[in-house]
Amino acid sequence: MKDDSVLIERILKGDNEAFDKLLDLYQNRIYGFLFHMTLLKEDAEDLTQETFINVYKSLYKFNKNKDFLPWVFKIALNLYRNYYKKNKKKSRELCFEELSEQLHMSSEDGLLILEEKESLKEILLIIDELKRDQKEIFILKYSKGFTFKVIGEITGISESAARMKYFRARENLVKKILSKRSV
Amino acid sequence: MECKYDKNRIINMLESNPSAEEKREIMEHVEKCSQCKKLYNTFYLLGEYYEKVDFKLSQKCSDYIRNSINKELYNEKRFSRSVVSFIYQNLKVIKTSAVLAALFIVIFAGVLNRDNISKFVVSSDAYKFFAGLSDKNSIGIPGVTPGQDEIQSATNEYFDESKYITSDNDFLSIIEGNDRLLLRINDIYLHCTNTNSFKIMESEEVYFRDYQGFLSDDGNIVYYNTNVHYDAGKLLYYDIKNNTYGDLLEEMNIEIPGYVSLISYKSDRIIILVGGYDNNNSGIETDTLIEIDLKARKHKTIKLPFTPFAAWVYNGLCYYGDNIGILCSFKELEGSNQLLVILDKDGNILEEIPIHEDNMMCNISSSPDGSKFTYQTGTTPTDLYLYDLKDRSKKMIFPPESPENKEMCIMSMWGKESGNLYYVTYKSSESSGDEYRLHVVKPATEDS
Repeated sequence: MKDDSVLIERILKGDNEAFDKLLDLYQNRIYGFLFHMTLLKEDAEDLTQETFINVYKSLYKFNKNKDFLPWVFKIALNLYRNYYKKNKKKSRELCFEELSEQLHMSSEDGLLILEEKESLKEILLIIDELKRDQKEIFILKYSKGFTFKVIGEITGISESAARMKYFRARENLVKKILSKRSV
Repeated sequence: MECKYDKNRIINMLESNPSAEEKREIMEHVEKCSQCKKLYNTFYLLGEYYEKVDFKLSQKCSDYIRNSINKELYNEKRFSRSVVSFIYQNLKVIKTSAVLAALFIVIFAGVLNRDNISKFVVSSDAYKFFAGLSDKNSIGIPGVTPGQDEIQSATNEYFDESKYITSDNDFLSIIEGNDRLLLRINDIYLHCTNTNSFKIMESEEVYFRDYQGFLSDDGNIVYYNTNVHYDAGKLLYYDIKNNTYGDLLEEMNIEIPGYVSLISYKSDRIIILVGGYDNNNSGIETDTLIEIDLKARKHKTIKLPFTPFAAWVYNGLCYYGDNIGILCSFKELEGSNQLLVILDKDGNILEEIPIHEDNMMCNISSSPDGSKFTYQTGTTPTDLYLYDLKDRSKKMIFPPESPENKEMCIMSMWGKESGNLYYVTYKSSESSGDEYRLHVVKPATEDS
C-alpha cells in the first residue's frame, strides 16, 4: 500500500514509468476479475484496457488516505455494469469455447485434469446465472477474498448488505448445483 | 432423499479454518452423503481454481494501455492538477471547514445585528430546529423547559405523557379514542380501553406466556407466542369472551415444518416465521413464513428468497402496511450488522434497510401505517427506540436502565386507531413496591 502511494505520487508528477509498474502490479488481478464476470476473453480484455485508461485519467482524484486496489476494482465494476446493460442477452454459448481456451491456457502446468475442467465450466456458468449483484459480490469475495467492508465500498452498499447478498448468492448456488448435478 | 444437513457448514469449512474436531465431524458426514460430497467437491474445486489458476493479460493488451494514455497529462498544467488533487483528497475537511465558516459568519452577523438574524430564523425552516427558543410552537416535553435544551427539544417531534398504573384506573385517561391495549403487568395481562380495564388470562398457563401477544382488532382474542418447547408447532390463543384457550394451528389443520419462532398480527391476518432444529436439536432459522387469513380461514406458505446461515438470526417480524418486515442480525459481530428486509405479500424483496445499532435489536413493533417501528436492544432489553422508515432516523424514546435510572421499559404497542405509541415502564421501589407506568407518545400537533 505504501508502494502504491509512492507510485501514485510519482505518476502525478509526470513519471510514466511509475504507471507501468502500477499496471504490472494490478493488470492481471483486474483482468481475472473481469474474466470471471464476463466469461469472455475479448470482452474482459477490452474492459481491463478501459479500466486502466480510466485509472490513469482519474488518478488525481484518488484519495491517498484510502486503499488503491478497491478504487481500481470500483472503476472496473462500474465499467462492467455498463457493459452488462448492453450485453445482457449476449449468447452464453460463446462462453464454453472461451472458457475451455482460458482454462487450457491457465493450467498448462497440468493443475486441472480434463474432468475437473468440465466441472469447472459447469460451475462457472452456474455462477454466471446468478443475479448481477449477487454474482459481483460472490466473485469479489470468493475469488478475490475481499472483506465485506471493502466489498461494500466497491459495490456501493453497506457492509451488512454485502454480507447478506453474499450468503444469499451462496445459498442460490447450492440450490442450483444440487438441482443441476443431482444424484 | 434430500439430505437435511446444514450445507453452510460444509462451505464455511472450506472458507475458514474450523477446529480439527469440527472438520472431522463435517467430513464424516460428507464421506457418507453423496449430495454433500458433490457440494464439497464443487466448492473445493472452485476454491482451488480461484486460488491457483493465473489469469494473465496479454502483452498486446498491456501495451495497448501504455500506448493509449496521454503521457503528457500529468506534465501539463501540473499546478492546476495538484490543486485539484489536493481538493479531492481533502474534500471532507474542506466541506466541514466551509460549513463551520458559514455557521460562524451567520452567528457573528447575528451577534452584531440580533434583529436581522431573528428575522432570518423566523422566515426559514431553521426555525423548526430552534423551536425550543420560542414559546410559540415549542414542544411539550416533560422536564424540559423551553430554551433549556434546544437540541433535545427541537429534535423530539413527539409529545409524551405518562401515568402510574393503579387500581383507580386514572391511567386510562391517556388512552386515546377507541384504542385497545393489552398490557402485561406482573404475570397477568390487562385489557384496557379508555373507560375500562380488566384482567385476562388469569390461569397458571400465563406464567410462561410472555413472549409475544397480540390483541385482535375487535378486542375479543389474544394471540400469543410462548416460544417454549412444549408449545412447539402451536399458535395459542385466548378467547376473552368465553374464557377459553386453544391452538389456532390445530383447529385450522395447519402443519408447520418446525415451531412458531415469531409472529405478527394485522387486521385478520397472522404471519408466522417458522423455526427449525439442527442436528443438536438447537433452534435455527428457516426460510418459511406461513400467513393465516383469519377471516377466510385459509393459509399460505411464503418462501423467503434467502435462507440464513449459522451466525444469522431473525430478531423481529412485523407487518409494514401490507408488506412484511424481517429483522436480521448477525450474532457473531457487534454493531451495524442488522438489516430490516421488507418483502411483499409473495415474499419478494422490496427493500433492504441496514440499521446501525451497536446492540442486537429485538421486540420490534410497527406502527399501524407501517411507517415507523419501535425496538429494544440487548439480551435483557430495558430501553425503547423509535425508527422512522421514511427518513431512516432513530430516536431514543426511553433510555436503558442505569444506576441513575432504575426504571425499565418492559413492553410497547401501538394504538390501532390513533396511531399513538404506548409503552409500559417498570420500577421496583422499596417504599411502594412495584410501580408500573403507562406512557403515550403522540406525534406533536399544533395544539400540543
